[in-house]
Amino acid sequence: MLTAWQICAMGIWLSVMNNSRRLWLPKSLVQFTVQTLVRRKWQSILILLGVALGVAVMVSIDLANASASRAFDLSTEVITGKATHQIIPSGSGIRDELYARLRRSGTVDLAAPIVSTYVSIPTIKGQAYQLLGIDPFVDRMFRDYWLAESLGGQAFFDLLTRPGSVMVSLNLAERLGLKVGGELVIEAAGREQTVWIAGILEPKDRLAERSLDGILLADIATAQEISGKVGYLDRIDLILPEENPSIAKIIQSQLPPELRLETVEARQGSVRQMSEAFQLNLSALSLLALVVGLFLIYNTMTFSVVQRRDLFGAMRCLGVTRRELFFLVTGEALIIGVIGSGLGILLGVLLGRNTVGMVSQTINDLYFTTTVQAVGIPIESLIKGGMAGVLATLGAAIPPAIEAASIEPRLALSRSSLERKADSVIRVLAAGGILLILSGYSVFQIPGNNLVFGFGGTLLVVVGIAMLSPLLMKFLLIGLRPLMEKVFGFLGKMAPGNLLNSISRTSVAVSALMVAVAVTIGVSLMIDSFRFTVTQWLEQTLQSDVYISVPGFNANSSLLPIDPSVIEQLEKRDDIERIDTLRATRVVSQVGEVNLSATFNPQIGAERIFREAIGGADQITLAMQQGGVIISEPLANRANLKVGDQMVFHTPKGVQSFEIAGIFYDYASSEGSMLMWRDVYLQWWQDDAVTAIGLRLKEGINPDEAARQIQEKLQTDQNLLVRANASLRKDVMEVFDRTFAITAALRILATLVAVIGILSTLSLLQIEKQRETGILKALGVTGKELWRLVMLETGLMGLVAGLLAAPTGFVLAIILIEVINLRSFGWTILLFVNPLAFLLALVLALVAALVAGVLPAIKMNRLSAAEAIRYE
Amino acid sequence: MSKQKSFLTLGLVFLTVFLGSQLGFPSEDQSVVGQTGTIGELDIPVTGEFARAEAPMLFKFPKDHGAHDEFQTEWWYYTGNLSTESGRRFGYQLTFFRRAIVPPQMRIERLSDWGVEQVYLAHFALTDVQNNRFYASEKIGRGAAGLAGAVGEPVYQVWLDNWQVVQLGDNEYLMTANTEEVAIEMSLTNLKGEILQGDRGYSRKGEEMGNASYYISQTRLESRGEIRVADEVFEVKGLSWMDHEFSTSALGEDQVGWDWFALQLSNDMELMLFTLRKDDGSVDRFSSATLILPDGQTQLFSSDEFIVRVLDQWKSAKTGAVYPSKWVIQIPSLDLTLNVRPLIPDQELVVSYVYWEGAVFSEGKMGDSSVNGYGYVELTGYGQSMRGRF
Repeated sequence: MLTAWQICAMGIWLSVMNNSRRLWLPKSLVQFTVQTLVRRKWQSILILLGVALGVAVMVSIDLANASASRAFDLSTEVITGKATHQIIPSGSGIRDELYARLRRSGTVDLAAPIVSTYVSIPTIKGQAYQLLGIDPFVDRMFRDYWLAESLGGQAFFDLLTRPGSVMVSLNLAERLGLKVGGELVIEAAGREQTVWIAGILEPKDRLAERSLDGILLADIATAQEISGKVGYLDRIDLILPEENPSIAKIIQSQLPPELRLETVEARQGSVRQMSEAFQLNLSALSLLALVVGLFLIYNTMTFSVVQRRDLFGAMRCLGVTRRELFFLVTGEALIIGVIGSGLGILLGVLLGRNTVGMVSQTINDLYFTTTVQAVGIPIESLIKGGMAGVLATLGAAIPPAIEAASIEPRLALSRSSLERKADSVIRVLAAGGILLILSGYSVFQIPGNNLVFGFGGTLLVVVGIAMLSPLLMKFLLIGLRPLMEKVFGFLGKMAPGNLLNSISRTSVAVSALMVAVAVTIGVSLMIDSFRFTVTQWLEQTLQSDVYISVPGFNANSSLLPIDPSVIEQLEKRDDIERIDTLRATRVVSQVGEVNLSATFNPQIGAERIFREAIGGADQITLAMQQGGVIISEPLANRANLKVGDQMVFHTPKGVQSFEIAGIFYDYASSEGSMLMWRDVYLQWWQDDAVTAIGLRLKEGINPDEAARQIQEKLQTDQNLLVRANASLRKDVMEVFDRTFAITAALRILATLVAVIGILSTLSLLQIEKQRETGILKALGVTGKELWRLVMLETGLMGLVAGLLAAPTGFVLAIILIEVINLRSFGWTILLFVNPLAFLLALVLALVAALVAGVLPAIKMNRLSAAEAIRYE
Repeated sequence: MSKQKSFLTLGLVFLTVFLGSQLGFPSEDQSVVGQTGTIGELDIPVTGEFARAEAPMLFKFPKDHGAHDEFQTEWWYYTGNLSTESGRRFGYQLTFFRRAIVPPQMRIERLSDWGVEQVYLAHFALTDVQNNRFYASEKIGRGAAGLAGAVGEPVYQVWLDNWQVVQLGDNEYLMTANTEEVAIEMSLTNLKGEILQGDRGYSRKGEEMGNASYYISQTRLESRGEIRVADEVFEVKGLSWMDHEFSTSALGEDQVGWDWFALQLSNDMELMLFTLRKDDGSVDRFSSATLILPDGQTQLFSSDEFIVRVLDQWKSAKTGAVYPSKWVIQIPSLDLTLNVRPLIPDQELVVSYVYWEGAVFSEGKMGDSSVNGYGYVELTGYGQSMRGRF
């Protein structure tokens, strides 16, 4: 530590040497800053670690989000190409003749038919490939990735004329050692099929290479045959002139009722929108670590300013201006910010290796299938994280920098007067906090589902509580003091006193820990409640004993039809009481594309929990049989639909309205879904395919045993998933837990940053109290007693943080459930309070604080009394 | 003329397959020679596996106006000269080509309707004489899933997307085609019935048995309807000519191209004439001419019975090819002399294959009476040699 006279001597020396009018040249200022940071090695390391962790979490999540988005873009880009519009079916597909009719009528000219299906390659686990069926004669106008030499004459000829021939990407060919003329086994529509390699798609650049990675290109005839969609197209791509929007209207007017013309943007937008809420949630959560980190930076910087009051006072008397002092402190912050953010970016990229996989998995589970895996590191994420880290550090350092600049060129204020000042600050802070909480609450009242307002309000509430907590901490400490004295004696009285005396800094550390722990409680309560709700919902919804479906790439219900002979075979079995079938498909309604399932389960009214309905279970079933539909809560919330409203569908028989008979709770997809009576569906769509089968077994039959037997005995070329109720539930919960794995990881990281904050604060506190400690030692206080004192102090801090965190966490949980989840995903979660969460949080806070106290305690014990007192 | 056109068709269809392989239409600066270069590498089934024209057959109409998929190559060739009430003249060409890419014995029943065995190609060109403008475009598509085809029953129709000729009734047809720039919609009335070329529609091409085609024409189709050029629509009428031919045949190695004439004369006769050019500059002895009399009877002339002299030439600025552009045709036995000139010089199609096909006017004498008439001329092999391509 530089003493005042050293500074003065240095200043005089410098002014003599340089004969300079001004003492503090920028260069020496930087030098001074660096020296300060190096000298306070441990503090610097801790604060760097705090910044780095905050940035790392943010970067890793942003990387994951950006990767998922890029994977989506690349996956769709290669598939949409230059198309501006798409004709999509409302139901099972576009009939072949329709396309021919459109072309012959001259309605469309730049039109490309597409048949696409996800397939897997048994030798490569976990990756979806898209079998893209195109008409090579027209497709060149749409997609140019396989231009040039990759489709040589022979390959083109084979692709057209040889059934079952495909073109694969160069990467896939290299990976599997595929050669032109060779064969590849794929699984499509639940069937293992052998395709013949007609050629290798050679990309024209690296981006195209990534996009093509997951593509198997086939002639449309082959694609229809492999996917089992003979006679149907999945969509028709169009390129319409931008300057003439009326063309779209003309085309739509000439389309049969079950076909809709949509812009590519709108279609992709609606798919993207679904995952955006999820991604925004992750981003918000990832900022948490940085927010907690801010407390740490603020705390440490404030400390270092307070500690150097004498020094700054001396510097001021040497002619250093206020501005220079301000820049001195912010300069320190800048250096910390830059180094910390740099480390954070590196760490973030390392963490990203896990987060990218986790986020992609979840998005693939819940929202859309991407066929692109490696997308590289999006540089924007790194820049964004770095900037956020530096700016946050600088921002947090501004109040202490102002404080440093305000020091008068005379001896510094005494500690007691400083803390007296802090006392009034605490009150002002608390008032401000209450104001923030109230404004946060009123932000929630703004109508609409704006998620940004949701998170904004949450931030206001959390910061508000954090600002309120120093005052609460003071009350708690005062309240606890008599009890502490009773239990721990003299030291028990001293510890809260010490904390109260240095409340300007201890309260920041406590607030940081409180926020981190509160978030842990809040998120835990939310996840527990969600899990509980989903379990309840599964209980009610999954009434069959055995479920059969075609495996798909989405955790949601598969849209792939089951071989019709399967039902015939099941009907012959004598262990089955009842067979329920479900037809899931996508149809176009007035609110865009929605998932529609057709069922003829007479108990459907009883097997869903309704938020709102026209009547009891029987009335709902009856209404459905008469043409009503029931819709899931997320769909109702998303599209603002109520019971009694009409759903308008485009059916092959014309546009038809269906009344909403009920809104049921559903957690299968945030996009939402709806149920229709099967006869009603058949009447309008004339499609008798089945995508899922539910079996009720006779009394006394073991579902697991039956499922195994059915799987073995079924005579079909489809690889069907036959699952007993329990194992289906297990699979669903697995997806659930997988979805929240990253959330759990994030809160742990935020807590880690908070622990670092406590550690940093405590060590600073103890350093500051060296002299005091020396005196205590000189007075005969033993090392053991000192240990106890430090542990009491830190334990108290943890306890206070934990106590404050419990109600805060509860409030957060309610906000997460009632505001954030409802707005993001549209579903109602039943609040399920597990008292253990609070206990766990309290323990966490205590342990974190105690662990953080160990190092300072050891350090203090090492000091001899003389050494400590020699401090000045 | 059948042989010449099969040159063209084969060339076009080979190119089609190759171009398809490029998945993009060639820009104009692409070398045509370069495009055809890889054809030799294609594993296209040998022609021997297809049905061949080995003897005259009995045609049944309208059934035989449809496609004969067991033969490798087939086309429906419409050309015509039209004018408005005020005398503004236009010429048009609408051609459909079919090429089988899978020989009959290799065809398998497929579940999907989209399986490709036949490829269709179509050219649509319009000549705006007054503005000296020529519009040409091309379409390609699979002869499957209803996208392109030619059927004779219940009524005849040939189509590729929305370019089509559809039979409306006995000897009545409706033709439609359009691009962004030009369009045609016209009703055609067949005035002379079906003209069977060669021996009852069996047209020998060379020494070898089976090296021949089946060849049917409609040489005088009264046409009336509308054409659109840019945003202007014109009511027009005039005469059209249709050739329908199918075969599985290869051409001689020494032939480099051909000149084909189809003239509809004012005396209710039509003259069809072609000369095959050999690489040594001489005219092939399989060149021939046919005069169609007002009652539909035909008179054949072999290569030594007529003379075609070129009077002028035109050089294409686009491709640099030099084409003949004024002729004198003489058939001494008929005492027929006709001077033939293009309505505008530039009627060169630069699509997947480069050739000249354009509206012409002819006038001269037949015996003592003067005759004239509009018609169409096709010139191939001037952009590049055809040799060794097929």
